[in-house]
Amino acid sequence: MKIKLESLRGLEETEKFVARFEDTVPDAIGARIGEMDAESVGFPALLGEVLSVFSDKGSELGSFFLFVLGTVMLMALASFSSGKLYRAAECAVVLIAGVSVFSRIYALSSAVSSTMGGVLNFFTAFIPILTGVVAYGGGGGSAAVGAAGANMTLGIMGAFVLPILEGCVSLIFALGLVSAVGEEGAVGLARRVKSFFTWLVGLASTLLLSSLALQSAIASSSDTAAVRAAKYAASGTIPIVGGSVSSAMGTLTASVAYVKSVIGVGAITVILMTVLSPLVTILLYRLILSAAEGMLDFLGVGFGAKLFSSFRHALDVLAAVFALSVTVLIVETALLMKSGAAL
Amino acid sequence: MTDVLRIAAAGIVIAVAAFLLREMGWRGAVAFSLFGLATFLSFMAEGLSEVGGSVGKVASFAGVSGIAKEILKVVGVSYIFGIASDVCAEFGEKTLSSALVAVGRIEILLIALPYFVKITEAAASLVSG
Repeated sequence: MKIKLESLRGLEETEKFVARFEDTVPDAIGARIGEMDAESVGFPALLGEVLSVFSDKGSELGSFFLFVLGTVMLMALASFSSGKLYRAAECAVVLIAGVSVFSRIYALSSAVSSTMGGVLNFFTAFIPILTGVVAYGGGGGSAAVGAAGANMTLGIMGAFVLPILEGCVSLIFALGLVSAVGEEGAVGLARRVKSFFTWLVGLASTLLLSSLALQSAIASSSDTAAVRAAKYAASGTIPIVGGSVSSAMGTLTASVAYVKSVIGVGAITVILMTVLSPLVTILLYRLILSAAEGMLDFLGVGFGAKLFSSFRHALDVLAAVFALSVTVLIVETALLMKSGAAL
Repeated sequence: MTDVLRIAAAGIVIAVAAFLLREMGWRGAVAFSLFGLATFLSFMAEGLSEVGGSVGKVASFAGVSGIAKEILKVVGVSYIFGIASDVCAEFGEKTLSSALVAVGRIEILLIALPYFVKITEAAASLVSG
C-alpha cells in the first residue's frame, strides 16, 4: 500500500507517521489496495471488492451449494421410509447430515474468528500511530481518551467476541439437532439464544461507542481551547516572531489533520477489505441454507427444515457479532480521526 | 409402467389367493404372503439398483458420497428390519418381532455412532477451551 504524499512534502514527522502506518498494513491487503487515494475508498471500490469476492469464492460457494443440495436430496429420500424404525432412522439421518453440513459451517466460523483476530491485531498496531498523530497535533487529551477506548475495545473483544463466535454457533447447532429430532421447544430456544446474543452485542457496542463519543467530544474541546490559548500567547507575547510561530502552528495543525484523515481512512479501508470477504461469504452461505430450508419445507421434510433453520440462526449470530464488532472498530477509528485540536 | 402394473396385479392376485386359502382353512397362508414379498422384491430389484446408481451419481457430483452411503445404509436397515419384524409378527412371534426392531435400532445407532463421537469430541474441545 502506497499513500500519495504530495501534500505532505517537507513535513518529516508526518511522513514518518504515514510510513509507520504503511508498515502495519498486511501485505496481501496492501497489494490489493495499491496506491491509497480518494478513489481507493468509497462505494465503487467496495462494490468492486464484493464482486471480487464472488469471483474468488465462486468455487467454494458452488461446492457448498452442491453439498447442501445433495444433503437435501438425501434427507428427502430418507423421509420416504416408514414403519417401526422410522424414528430411529430419522434421528440417524439428522445426525449424519447435520454433522456433515455443520463441519462446513464450523470451518467458516473458524475462518471468521481468525479474520477477526487479524483485524484486532491490525487495530492494536495501528491505534498507537493514529493517537500519536492526534497527540502531535496538540490533541493530548483526545489521544489519551482514544488510546484508552481502543484498549478497552480490544480487551472486550478479546475476552468476549472471539469465544462467542465459535461457542454460540456450536450451541445453536446443538439446539438445532435436538429440535430436528422432535423437541419442538429447542427451536424456540435457538431463536431466543440468537436474539439474546444479537441484542447483547448491539447494546454493548452502543454503550461503548456512546461513552467514547462523549469522552472524545469533551477531550477534543479542551484540546482545542489549549491550542488556541497557546497560539494566542505566541502571537501576543513574543515580539516580531510571535505571528509566524502562531501561523506555523496553524499550518502544522492543518497538515496533522490531513495525515490523520489519510491514516484513518486508510485504516478503515484495510479493515473493510479484510472483513468484506468473510462477511459476504457468511451472507451467501445463509442464502444457500435458507434455500435448502425452503426446499425441505416444500418437500414436507420437517426434521430437515428445522435442522437447516437452526444452521441459519447460527450464521445470523455469526454475521451479527462479526459486523457489529467491525462497526465498533470503524466508528472508533472515525471518532479518533475527528478528535484532537480544531482551530 | 408395465412393471408397475405387473407388481400391482401380482399383489392383488396374491392377496386374493391368500384370502381364499385362509377361508378354506389352509394354515400356510402366511407362507404364501412371504412368497408374495419375495416376488415384489424380485420385481423391484432392478429398479432399486437403478435408484441406488442414480443417487450415487448425484451424490458423487454433489460431493456427498460419504454421507449418501451412510444415509442409504440407515434407510436400508430400517426397511429390512422393519419388514423382517412384520413377518415375525405375522407368524405370531411377537417377542422375536420386538427383538428384531431392537436389533435394527442398534444397527442404525452403530451406523450413526461415528458422527455422535465427532459431536462429543467437538463439544469436549469447546468446553476445554
